[in-house]
Amino acid sequence: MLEKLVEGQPIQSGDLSITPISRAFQIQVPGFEGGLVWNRPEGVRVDVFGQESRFLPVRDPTRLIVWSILGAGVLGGLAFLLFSRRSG
Amino acid sequence: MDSKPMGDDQADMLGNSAVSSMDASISRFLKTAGVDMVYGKPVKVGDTTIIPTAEVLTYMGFGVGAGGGHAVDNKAVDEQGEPKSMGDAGGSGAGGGGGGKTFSRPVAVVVATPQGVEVKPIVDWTKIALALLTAWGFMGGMAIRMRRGMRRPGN
Repeated sequence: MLEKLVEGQPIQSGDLSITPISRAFQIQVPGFEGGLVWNRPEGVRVDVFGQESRFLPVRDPTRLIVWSILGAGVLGGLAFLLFSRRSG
Repeated sequence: MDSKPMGDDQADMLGNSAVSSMDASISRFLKTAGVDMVYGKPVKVGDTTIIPTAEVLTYMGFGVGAGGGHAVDNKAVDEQGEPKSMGDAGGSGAGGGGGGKTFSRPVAVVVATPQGVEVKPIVDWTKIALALLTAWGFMGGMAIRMRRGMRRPGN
């Protein structure tokens, strides 16, 4: 299991230099040919000549909302199950 | 029509070829962990640069195998006293299989203008709606199970 931050080649836009950064999560089982890779954008580092560089995170509201809904669904379902066992 | 069984050398060659093909696939698979898979090619419109970003999930797995051999008659021996081969009699085989899938979803867009850089998230309403349906379905199933349990005789 491995998680790594990877920086890409800077992209020039006028006076700005934008460096993309991604976060990759890799699972490879020894002896097993294959595995899983989950790669997503982490953010961009913006460099302007003569100024301090700053980091802009890439937020994923879809993933946050989906996981919240699924988590609430599982908790709600388990709550129903526990309530039915106590009543029955 | 008689077909000649594959010899050990041929089985080795087939196995090596399958392993090379597998190594190439593994190499391509591991490249999905690179930053280029997640950030697209920048698009320049005037003095504005737009960089699309996406989330990528890839999984795969496969295996290969090859083998070959020929029969030996233990009763027949040659001049050195070693068991004699039965010539073309023998067997061989090779096989392999695998599969995988890649999921990709747009996450955000990085917009760079002379005024500054902004990251604009992309909300996937279809995915959110599917998650809602899944959650409601699960809760509904548990609620129905609860009501059935309450309706049982003796309750």
